[in-house]
Amino acid sequence: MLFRVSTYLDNEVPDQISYFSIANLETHVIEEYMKHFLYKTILFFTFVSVSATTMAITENTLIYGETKRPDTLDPYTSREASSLRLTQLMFNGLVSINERQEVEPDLATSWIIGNDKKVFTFQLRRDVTWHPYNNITTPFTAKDVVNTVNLLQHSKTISPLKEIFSNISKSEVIDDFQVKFTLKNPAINPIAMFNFKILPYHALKNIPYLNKSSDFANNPIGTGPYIFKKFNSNRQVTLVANKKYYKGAPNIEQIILKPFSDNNIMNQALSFNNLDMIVSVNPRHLSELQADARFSLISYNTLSYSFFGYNQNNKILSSQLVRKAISHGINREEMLRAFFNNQGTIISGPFAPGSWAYNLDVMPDEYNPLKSIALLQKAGYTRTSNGFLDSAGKLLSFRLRVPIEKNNESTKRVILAYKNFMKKIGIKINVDFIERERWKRAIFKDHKFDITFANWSFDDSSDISTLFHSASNMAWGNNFISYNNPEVDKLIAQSKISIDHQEKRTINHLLHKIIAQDVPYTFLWSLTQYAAYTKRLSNVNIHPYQFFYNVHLWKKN
Amino acid sequence: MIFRAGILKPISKTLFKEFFSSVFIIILLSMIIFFLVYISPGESLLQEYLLNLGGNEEEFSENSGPINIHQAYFSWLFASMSGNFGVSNSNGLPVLGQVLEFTANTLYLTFSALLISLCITLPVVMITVSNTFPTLSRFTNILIRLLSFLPLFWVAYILIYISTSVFDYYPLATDYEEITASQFILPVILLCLGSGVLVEIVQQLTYEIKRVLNEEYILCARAKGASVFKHLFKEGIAFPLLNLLSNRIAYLFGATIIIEQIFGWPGIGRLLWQATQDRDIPLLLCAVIICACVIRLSHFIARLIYVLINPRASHE
Amino acid sequence: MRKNNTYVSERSKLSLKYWFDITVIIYCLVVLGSVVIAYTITTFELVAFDYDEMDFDAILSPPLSAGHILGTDYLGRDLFSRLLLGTQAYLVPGIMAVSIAIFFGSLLGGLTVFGSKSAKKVIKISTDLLQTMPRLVLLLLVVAIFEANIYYIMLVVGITNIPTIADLISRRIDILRDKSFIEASIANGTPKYTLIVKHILWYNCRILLIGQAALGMAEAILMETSLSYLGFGVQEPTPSWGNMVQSGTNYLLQGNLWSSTIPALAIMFVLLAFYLVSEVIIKRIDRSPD
Repeated sequence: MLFRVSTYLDNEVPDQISYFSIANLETHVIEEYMKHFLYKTILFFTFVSVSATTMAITENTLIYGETKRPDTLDPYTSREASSLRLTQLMFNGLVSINERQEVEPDLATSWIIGNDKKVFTFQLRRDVTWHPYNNITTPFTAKDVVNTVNLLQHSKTISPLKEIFSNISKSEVIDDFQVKFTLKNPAINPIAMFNFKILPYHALKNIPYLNKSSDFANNPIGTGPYIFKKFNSNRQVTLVANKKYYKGAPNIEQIILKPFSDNNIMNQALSFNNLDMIVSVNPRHLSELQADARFSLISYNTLSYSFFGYNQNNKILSSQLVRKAISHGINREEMLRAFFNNQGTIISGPFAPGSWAYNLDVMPDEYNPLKSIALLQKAGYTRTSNGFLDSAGKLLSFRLRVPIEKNNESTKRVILAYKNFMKKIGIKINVDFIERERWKRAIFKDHKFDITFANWSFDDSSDISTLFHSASNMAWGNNFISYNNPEVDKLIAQSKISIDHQEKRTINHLLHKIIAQDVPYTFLWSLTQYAAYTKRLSNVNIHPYQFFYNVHLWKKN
Repeated sequence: MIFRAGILKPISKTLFKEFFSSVFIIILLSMIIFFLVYISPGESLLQEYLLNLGGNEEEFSENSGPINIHQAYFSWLFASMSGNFGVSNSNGLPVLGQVLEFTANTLYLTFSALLISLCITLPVVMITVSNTFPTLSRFTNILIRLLSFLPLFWVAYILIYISTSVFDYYPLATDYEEITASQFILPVILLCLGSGVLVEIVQQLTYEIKRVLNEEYILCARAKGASVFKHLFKEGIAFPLLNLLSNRIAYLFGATIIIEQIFGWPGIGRLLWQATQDRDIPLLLCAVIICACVIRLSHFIARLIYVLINPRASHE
Repeated sequence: MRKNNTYVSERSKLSLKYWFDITVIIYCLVVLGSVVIAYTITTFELVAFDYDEMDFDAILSPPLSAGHILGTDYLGRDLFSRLLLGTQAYLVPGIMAVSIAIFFGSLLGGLTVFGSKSAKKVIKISTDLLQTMPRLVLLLLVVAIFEANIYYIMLVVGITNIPTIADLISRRIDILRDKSFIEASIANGTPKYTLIVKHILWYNCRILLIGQAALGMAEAILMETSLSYLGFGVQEPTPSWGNMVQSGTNYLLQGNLWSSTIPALAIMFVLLAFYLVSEVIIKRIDRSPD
């Protein structure tokens, strides 16, 4: 017998055997012999049993689920929301922002603002210590603050938050508990920018810049309410309470982040008490959780919205009439109701609805297919039974490119519904789902698309300058739709210079109105995010900037 | 029997032959994978990776033009041969350590799957061959076959659904460091199903045992009253099983991608999927190579055992 | 193919088996026939199905509900018409995959007839390569790099099946060689082309290849389904049974069983039919004198 003669690959036909003709070869001899053999082997296999071990998770532990594995654990090098959320538990900034979007003192007790609004002097807390590093606890001083700024300003540091530090021209230590910052340009609400997380000097003094491969990225030390303990190979991170936390020792002893790769399974884990909290509930699970008395749902508005963006390089889409027609052709209320249980707000313009810049006087485009058809006819397209024809006599059709996201069924729903709405008004949409990295290249770099679907999320400065200013129409620029409107450019420039809040507000409201009229995007909605947690947790207080706001007060019964 | 004189020569010969063919296959495979990564549109991710591998950024930045593929391949090959697979793009940890840890987790799953599938299939085979309960054996055979035709993830979801809604029991592991047997059983059984191990073992073993028992010399030996158990075990069970299991390892590794996704098992399949998602080139290359090494190693061991039992096979 | 000592069963068993075989053949004809019919209907639009008409008020409705025989999916689209349309995703690409595998596989396998060592070596190396690299990993890589397109998936499935078929054919040739008609025809000066294509592939391997083709189709469908779970199968809005099961399973744990079960069962029945076809064919090979 050759070794390879019976190499059966999974689709290879086994030579003769068939389960329907298994009695093929049987003889009396075989049966008798095998019966004897069978009884022996049954005995042999009964011993195979694995002993069950008991679970040993201590009480008073909060386990929360995320759908993305955290990558690095320091506050700066990661782009993952799950990592950033985790670092809120371990680090503090000089100031923090509360749920009413007001600045609160954190590591700084008070601050003095210079006359030209460029110089800021912070008084630091004296009772803060870092988490133990090599079993030594070091007090928090001004040196840490300055070192953090220097690290982040180093040219080789790679961080998505680097932008914040570009406006700081100088940072100096005055004494151990006083720091002075000098800004390059005056900013609106400048104190809020000092909510960046402070890194320890003593653990980082040997490295000139931060990147993902530095030791600190996987072994963080902070001042926050929880101390990093360990992560396992699945990037399940365990944190323990910092008994010396300056705001008071946290009530919950341990916090565990548990990454899941399947959304449905995560939801099951919650309902079987294997999780205490889900950070962001998938819309399809909302009604189920709402009906369950064991869980509380807490909503938090994120400053983000979804939209369809239209490439202005496309000759047909560069016409405002066509874009307006498309916007009128979509039934947003219906989609929001059917896909998201009405958990969101329909928006009319480029600002997030929670923000001060949002102009409430501008109404969203209503669903009106007849109006769309009229607008398209006005734009000069002829209507046939199959749909609209363009000037060359071909059917009006666009390519909609969307990234594939395994865990995001709702995006798929919106896209397909959009396609259907467009079909109704006579525009053909060719949906093109592509792999995420390729999508990024196609949209942001090459601008090869007609329509795309995406989300923007903002910080509280509500800065839309890069989205619509013609100067950022370049490869990897945020104005990937190549929008060019001199009036908008002018207003954006004005808004940037202005430091008066009221004036800035007026400019932004005007901006909102113009952009809503011009429809470079079809603005859809800002969805309400829900966190779900067991009723055993109390005192939970969540807001979009800081998910774990005042986590030391949370309790588990 | 194992320590019979003259066994060393065939073993060393096999060792030698198999080792070099394995190395050859792995290098060939690495070329294919490297080529695929090279042509992928990834904003010179590969270049960046190779740059970090070398550790001397200044040297590379001088001639920062596009590097051609053979240059890139060899610099990667030499670095990886010395165990330097670089650090992960996403979390900054050395990839080799991560990959090995995840591979160990997967092996844990795979070998349990093999063991469990033996536990399930051997009785089925025995029942089938002995024709003790013809209806039962036919039913089991058809059931196993039908289950293997269903989409694996759907079967997984249905089983989880049945477990949670009918029995009110959560069948998934809560903590992978302390896993209970009942939580372990579901992924393992699904893995057996999904990789086709169950179906194959039942079919092949039934066939082989019948074939061996029908050989004329066996019939003759039995007529004389000699015990044929040893021979039956060797020819009808051990050889086909060895063969089958070593061939099925690759399929098991393939099926783990789906199983690990569903059950959140920290294994190589999930790592590979994540790496393709994040375009984590160092992780991807390392994971594929280590995966290949493990599969080759299992073939190697199977071959070695085969030669130990049957030294003549080394000539083939 | 290994030659076996076949035992003639008793008359009663034979007749039972005969009826069993008839049932199997009828089953295969019905299932595969309906797939072809579904394909024809949807491709040539003999009956107009509105497969992406959405009904937001009837999302995930169970079978036999108003207007939808098999119920609706997560967007309120009719499952029955999508199921019919889903055959489009597989038929042509699947045949493409199978023909790639069979064409190159038989070419490679056929070359071993001249006793050339290199063809055998290529077969061995490629078989080894295939066994070393999990196919799903390769598919994942290709799809991530190029495009989540059914043709790319099927191309990979086809290419990775080449060594299997080549191996089968070369083994068949080894058996045929014993009958020495190959040596005879080589000595006769039969052209190489005629020898490989006519004498070996057509006269002696065609049934084997048809059986392989059926299994290849089955495998292609299963691969697409697996990829669909990972998000890289056939992409919406084109329906495929894989992405139908995938989107359905998202709502399965909440008790909406039907939208995923129906396509899953469809996959099972069709795969069973393909498998049985190959099985019946193998049985014929065994009966036919070599």
